Order: sequence, then structure tokens, then C-alpha cells
Amino acid sequence: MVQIDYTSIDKMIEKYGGNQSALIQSLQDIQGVYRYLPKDALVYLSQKMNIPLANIYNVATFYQAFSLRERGEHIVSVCLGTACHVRGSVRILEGVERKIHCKANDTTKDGKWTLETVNCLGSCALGPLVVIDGNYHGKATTTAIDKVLDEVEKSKAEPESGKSKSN
Amino acid sequence: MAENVAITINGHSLEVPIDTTILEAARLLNIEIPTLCNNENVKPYGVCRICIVEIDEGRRKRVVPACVYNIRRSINIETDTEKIRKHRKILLTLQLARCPDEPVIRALAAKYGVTELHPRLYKDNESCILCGLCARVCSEIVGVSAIAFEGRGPKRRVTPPFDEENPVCIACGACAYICPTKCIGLHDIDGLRTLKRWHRSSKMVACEKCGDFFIPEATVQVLGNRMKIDSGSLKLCTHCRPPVF
Amino acid sequence: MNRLHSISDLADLREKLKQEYDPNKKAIIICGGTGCLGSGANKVIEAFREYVSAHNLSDQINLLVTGCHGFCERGTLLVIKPEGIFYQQVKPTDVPEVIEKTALGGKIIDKLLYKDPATGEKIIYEKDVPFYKRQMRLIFGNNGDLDPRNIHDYIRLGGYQGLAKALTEMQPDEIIEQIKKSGLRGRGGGGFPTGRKWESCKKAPLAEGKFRYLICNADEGDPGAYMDRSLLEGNPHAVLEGMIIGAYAIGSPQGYIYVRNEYPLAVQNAGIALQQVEELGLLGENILGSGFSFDIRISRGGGAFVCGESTALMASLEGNPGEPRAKYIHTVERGLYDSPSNLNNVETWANVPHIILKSADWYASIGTEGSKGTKIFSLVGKINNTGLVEVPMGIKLREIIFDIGGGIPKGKKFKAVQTGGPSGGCIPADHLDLPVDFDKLYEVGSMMGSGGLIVMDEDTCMVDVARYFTGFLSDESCGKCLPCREGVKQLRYLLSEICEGRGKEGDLELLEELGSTIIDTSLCALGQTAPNPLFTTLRFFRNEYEAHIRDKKCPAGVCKELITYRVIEDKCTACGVCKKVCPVQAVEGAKKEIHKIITEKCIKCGACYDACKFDAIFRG
Repeated sequence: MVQIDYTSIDKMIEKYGGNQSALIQSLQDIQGVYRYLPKDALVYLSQKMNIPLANIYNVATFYQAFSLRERGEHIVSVCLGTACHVRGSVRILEGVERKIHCKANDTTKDGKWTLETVNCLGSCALGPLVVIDGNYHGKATTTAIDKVLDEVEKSKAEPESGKSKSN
Repeated sequence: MAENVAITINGHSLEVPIDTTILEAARLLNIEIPTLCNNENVKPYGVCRICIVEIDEGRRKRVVPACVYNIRRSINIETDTEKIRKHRKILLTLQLARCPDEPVIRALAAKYGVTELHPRLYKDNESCILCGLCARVCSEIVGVSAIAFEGRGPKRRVTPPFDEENPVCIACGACAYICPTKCIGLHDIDGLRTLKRWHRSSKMVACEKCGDFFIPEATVQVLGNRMKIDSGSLKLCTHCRPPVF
Repeated sequence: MNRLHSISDLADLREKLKQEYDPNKKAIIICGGTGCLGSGANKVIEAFREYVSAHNLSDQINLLVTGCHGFCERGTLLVIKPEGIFYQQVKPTDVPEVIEKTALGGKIIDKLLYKDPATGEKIIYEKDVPFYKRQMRLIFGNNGDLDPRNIHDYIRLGGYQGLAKALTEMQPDEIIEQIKKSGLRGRGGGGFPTGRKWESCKKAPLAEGKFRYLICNADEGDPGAYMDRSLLEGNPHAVLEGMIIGAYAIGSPQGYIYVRNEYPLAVQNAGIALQQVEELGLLGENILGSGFSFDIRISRGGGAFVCGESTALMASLEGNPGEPRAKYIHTVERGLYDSPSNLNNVETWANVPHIILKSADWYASIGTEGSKGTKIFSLVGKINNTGLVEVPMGIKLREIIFDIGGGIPKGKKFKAVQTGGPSGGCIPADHLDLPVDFDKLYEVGSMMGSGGLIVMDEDTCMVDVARYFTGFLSDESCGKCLPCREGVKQLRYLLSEICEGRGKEGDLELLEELGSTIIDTSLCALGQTAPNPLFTTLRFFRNEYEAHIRDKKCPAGVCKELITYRVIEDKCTACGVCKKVCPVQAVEGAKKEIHKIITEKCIKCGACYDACKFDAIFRG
């Protein structure tokens, strides 16, 4: 179970003014720290902001950006936008599912991988696009992505942003 | 400053105060419009779409739900056109595919000509029609919002948070009372009230005089906190309680 | 930065910036838009910075990182000024040569030039690149000339002059008249006349203690459309200026920019821009001493396509789930917090300063009778020149796709172009001469929408496309109303049945019936337009549907259950690559032997098809 820093949540509520309109922003900040929305944090938020927990839960489950479950060490996002779709993103997704033994929008039991799908990242020239730990891998093929996933599994290096995958 | 608007419904003329809904106006004339997600105790939500009517605003005709359309201009309303009947049948077909074994839905569907499950549609096995009346009454009338919607799209449902028993629920049973399909599962057995769908249970308080169980403990707590009540009056059931006047 | 207290302060600042700017100094302009960043622009930028600093060249060379230039297919893009030399697909290893040979030495590096596939010619200057030449880059053009994180660039190029004019020379009603006269229509997809919207909002009765709100809809959800992202990332001040002018015209003290959660760079750059306008006094209390006060806040979305719909967006701003509500009472009367609210799209706002500065008549001279001005489109999918193009309204689809877009890659045949996102439709080759504007595309069942143009070729299955869009919309449906939630779900189910070989006679009629009810009875525009992709593909490609249902065949070779992969024996060179890449060992063949795919083991993943360099795998 993750340790919640309640004082920083207090500070955040103060920063935003603590009313309903700040709810989504607050959840985004919390997820920014813990990489998901821990239940205890939501319960605390409900008490402090005086918003029924059921309403907070409703917002947390309505929006795709929020995760109520801990996410894996490595996050793989496959873009399923239309441009990527016509360039074959479905097969790429299936390839990733096979490779890391994880279904879309799920996390592996060992906590190593989370596989997410996104409805368009706005980088259509790079389609089909797979983002692994923030690194863009454009013009993806199953074989190429398999290789990258192997490398990620083995390496312990820090990910750099904007790294391209030449093909 | 109640202005009136002149309208017609199915050819009958009448005047209604501005912002009257079509459903309210129709009821003034005793014209029947079916509803599922509507209940006079809570604000209209307009989601089941069963109450659709056709309106003629002058420039064009539209299909609108009667419960949420506020009349602000002179319009002509038709409640039973061919188009409305066609759409209502499809809507009920869809509803039936979601809740094929639910008696209230089966009866309503049959009333409007949908007597069988459509063989080509994907069948669910739900009893909840997602009208939201339970969550709406809990929020608007009872004021605790113990339950609310979860998720979106076809996976949407009403639950207590995290689908676990919610201690803020006062087990008053308003949700079960208002539910059109009675799918919440409220049972009072041997002094224990359970609301099956919300995994909620609360012991009932027995009347000090006659011994009948009459109010959930959870409700007593909340009422005691919120209102200045003579604690004695919450120990006797309504039969045994002395009259106020 | 010193706060500006008046219009003349702003004019003085502009003069000063222009004086300090040396247009003849060498400038290396690097595209830092999200697309190029994805192609490795970060490393290129770093390499330039290191080299310039290590060799003490900052006196001779300016480095400018800008937002998106639009020619995304060829990223990382570089422009060298003052000449305007255009380099594409630049790698970090090219950096020293670019600096020494071109920037300092004045010579061209041939291998970095763009080669026009039509003529075989190498193009040196940006202005001659066919992709750019045929565009009219009024709104988007400045992206290549300014650092989005530096308000001074925007001001030097003439920014905020529109605002100055509006505040000092025009009354609010005049401004609205100009916007009306210009013919500007909403660029988010709805195409509602902007001037009329502003007027309605201004006239709406205001209850005690309430305010009029101004909103910028940057929740660009149509997959394949990224115009708004590039505008907000690359030239956020253009949007801000439009909003401030609008707020002055309508009488709003508070504005919001609602940005999609998936656009972190746009959020960042808009945030920096906001800080800078506040510092300079172009936003906040008593703007430029005019007495007018206006504030803007940025709000991020939570990942919900439906929040692009105005009432859902407003619900989200209020901290609620993005559930739309019926619009029988318009949001200009009762919107955010039940108050009169004026919502416009990013691109719409960016058009405003131009109209105010250059006049409504000038604006109305561009475009068609019913659709004035330019439109930015995202041209994506099976197209050679993927990117963002800005063209005058009324240009033909054919021109955009073939003349600017460079046609279909690998010599494949054009099949259809999807316009208008998931609310729009597919337009086949027969209608390529249709002019693109707000009204003409309705004739073929589609719409211009927010500007996404997704090109499809002979290898695209139109039934699969319908299934894709329907699935997308079902996932994104808020789930509130029955026809959308259950109806679109059933459409998706039936389309999957058809794609997977279980289609039956009568399915098409059922789809049409369901679609008609979904259109007429859904609560919001998501549901009301959800059957469009299905209906347009049925209209123009019904034969493909029938092939799937009657013959259990997918003519385009896409639907897994209806196709097989096999080796074309007389093309196979026995190189063994397919065998190597097959994840389930479904290929057999010894060295030098023609390989064979074992159909029963094959999972139709396509790895062999992608890997084979001899076109020796048949899929169909």
C-alpha cells in the first residue's frame, strides 16, 4: 500500500480553492505524484473538499486519464487513432499484447508492464505509433517493437524523451 | 412574471406558463406519454428517450424528449406520429436486449409492439435500466449521494464508491422505492435491512412499545445528527408514537 | 519584462524589438512541434546548442526552436534564414555540417534537400517546396518564425496590434459587426457563424451576481486531427489575442482554455504564454490602460472525446463528469455555471486578430460564398505528404490530396478520404472534385468537421473503417442516453459480426434501422452523428459489405477471419526472413526451399507480410 502525503494534498486543495470545479485538476495532480489514484487519497479528498465520495469516484472512473489501479514499471501506449488504424495499428497492438503477455488497458501481474491504448496522440506522420516510457517509436512494425520491448526489459537506463526509432 | 405560451398538442390548443415541459403540458390534457426515467420527485434527466414527441417549431420539425423540453415559444406537438412509433419500438428493442428478463420492460415493450427479443442483437442480462433515479433521489432528496454512476459508455453502472458498502448510506430505501424495475433488492428480515445491490446492511431499531422493526439504525444516526428531534420519538414506531397535535 | 500601461507602450516595445532584430543574421530554425520531437528533434536541438556554444558561434548564429511547421512527414525540419533554405529529415549527426557548410559557409547540403517525387528535382528554398507553395498560410504561417515561449517574437511580428486597435479604435458592438461581416464560422466542426454567437452571448440576460464566460475549446478529439495542437503549441499568443478581443466585445471578465489531457506540450506553452501576457499587462486588470479587465485560466481534460461537445466541456470545467445536456436552451444563454457562455474553437480564436487588423472585407474576399477565410487541415493516413495544410475554403479535395499531399504512397490507388472525424463520412474517388467548405460535403453525407482528412487506399477495408469508428464512438459515449449507449454498442456488435464472417442477410437493413433511431433520438451530437461513418460507407461501398456477408470475403484483405496468408511460390527467394519473424512458428521451409505458411497455425498477425522484401506473401 502506498504512503499518502496528506499535507501536500492539503496544500494542493488550498492552492486550487477547494471547490468542485477544482476536482479534476486535483485528481490530475494526485495521479501525477502516485502514478494512479490511491483510494485513501480519494477518501481524504472527499472529506477535505466536502464532496461525496461517490461523486469523486464517478469523476475518477469517467475519465480515461485516471487509473484506480497501480500502473506498471513500464508503460506502453499504442495509438489507435484513425490515421494509425489505417496504417495497421490493430496488428501492432496485438503484437505487443502477445509479447508482454498483457491485454490492452491492463497491467501485468508482476507489475512490470501496463499496456494502454490512446485515441490519437496527434503525431499522425509517425503512424503507427507506439510510445514506450515516453519515447516515441514511429512507423512501427511488430518486429521492430518486439526488439524495443526486449531492450526495455533488459535495460535499467533512464528513458529519454523524444528518442526516435529509425526504420 | 409568468408569461404564457400558446401551443397545440395533437391538435388541441392550450396555454401554458413559459418553461413548462411538454410532458407537464401533455398531462394537463390527460394525454399519455410513456416514461421510464422520469419521476415527479426529482429533476428530469432525459435519458431513456421513451417520452419522445415530434415538434414543429415553424422552420423545421424535430424529435425531442417531452420531459426535458421547456416550452418557450409557440410550437405544435404531436405525440403519436408514425416516426415516433417507429423510433419508440427501436428504443424498446434496445432496452429489451439489455434487460430481456425484466418484467417491467417486457410489459412496456409489449405495449408498444415489441413482443420478442431481436434475434440479431447482442443480449445482456441486466435488470438495471440506468435511468439513474436511485442516484438522483439519493442526491436531490436524501442529500447523501451514497451511490452514483461509475464509468461511461456501455460499461456504465450505478454503484457505491469502489463497489463497496458506503457508510454514508442511511439505508432509507428511497432508491428502492423509486426504482422502476425494483432491481435494488431491499429486504427487511429479522431486524436487518439489506440493500443487496449496494452491499449495504443496517440493523433496524425495534419499537420500544410494540417491538416491530421500523427504522434503520443508520437513518437514526443521521437524523439525530442533523435535526433537533426529541430522542424519545425515534424509539417508537409511527403507530405507537403519540400524535404531535 | 516591464508592464505595458498603454497602446503607445506596446508600440514602443515593438519598435524596440524590431530595431534590435537583425534580419540578416544567420538563423537556424528548428521545428520543435510534437511530431518532429517524436522524430528525434530534441536530440537535433541539443546538438545545435552544444555545437554553437562549444564553438562560440552565438554572435554569428541565432538558434530558434519553433512550433510545428506542418510538413510532418519530413521531420525533423530545418529552415536557415535569411535565405530560407529548407532541410528535412535532419539527424544530430548532420549538425556540424549544417553549421559549417551552410550557415557559415553558404553552401547547400544536397542530401538534406527535399526531392519532389513528381519531377525528381531537389528543392532548395522553403517557399518553393510544393507542399507549402500551394497553401495560404495566414494563420499557421507564423509558426515557423517565432519561439512560442517568447512573447517578444510575437509582438515583433505585429502581435497584439489587433487587440490594441480593438481597445482604442472600436466599440464592442463594432467588433461584433466586423466579425459578423467577415463571415467567420466556427472552425471546430459546427460551422456556426461566430459573429452571431458573440452577439447572442452579449445580449443574453444576465442574472444578479453572474458573469459572461469565454471559452476556448482545445479538446481536439477527432483522431487524426492535430491542427489545434500545433496552433496552441506553436503560436499560443494568436489564440490569446483572439480571446481577449472577444472578451472585450462580449463583455466577459473570465475565460478558460480547455485543453486535451493528451497534449502536454500545448498545455505547457499556453501556460507560459499566459504568464507572459499577464506580466506585460496584456491580460488581467486594466489591459493597456483601457479599463477593460479579463483573466484566463487553463483547464486540462481528463481523456474523454465527448468533452469536445460544448455542454460536456462545461460540465467538465465545473468538475463533473463530461455528460452533455440537451441544448434546447443554448449555452450562449445558459452555459458554464448556468451563465451566458461563448465557446469557440482554437482556430476560430486565432482568426479573430487578423479580421480586426486587416478588416472584415479583406477576410470575406477569401474563400467561398458561404465559407470565408482559410482552413487548416490535417492530411494523414495513406498519403505521401502527411502534415498540416492551410488552404482557402473552396479548394478541391483532389488538389489537397494530390497536389499538396503528393498522392498515395507505394503507387497504390486512392479509395476514399474520411472527413469530419467520427461524425463525418468517407468520400470516394468520384467526388474528389468537390470543393471543401462547410456546406458542400453535406451533399455526400459527410462534413468538413474540424479539418481531419484521413486518406485511404485500396488496402483499406471500408467495413473495417465503419467498425473502427463505431467502436471508437461506443467507447467514448458518455453512456447517459439509451440510443447512443445501447444503439451504438449494437452497431459495433453487428459490424464485428460482419467483419468476422458471421454476417447474415438482413443485417444491413437492421443497421440502417438502428442508425436512423440513433440519429433522431440521441441526446447530443456524438450520438446524433455516430451512424455517419456507417451510413456513408454503406452508401458508397455497399458491395464490400455484401462481399463480407454473402461471400465471407474481405476484398481489401484486412479482416483477419476472412483472409489467409500464403507464400507466392514463384516470388519466394527462400531468404527465411518470414520464418524468423513468425511469432508462432507457422512458416516451414528449409534453406533454399520455397517456404510455406501453415494456415492452421497462422494467427494472421502480418509480420511475414511486413518483413518480406520480395512481395512474396499474398494476403487476401
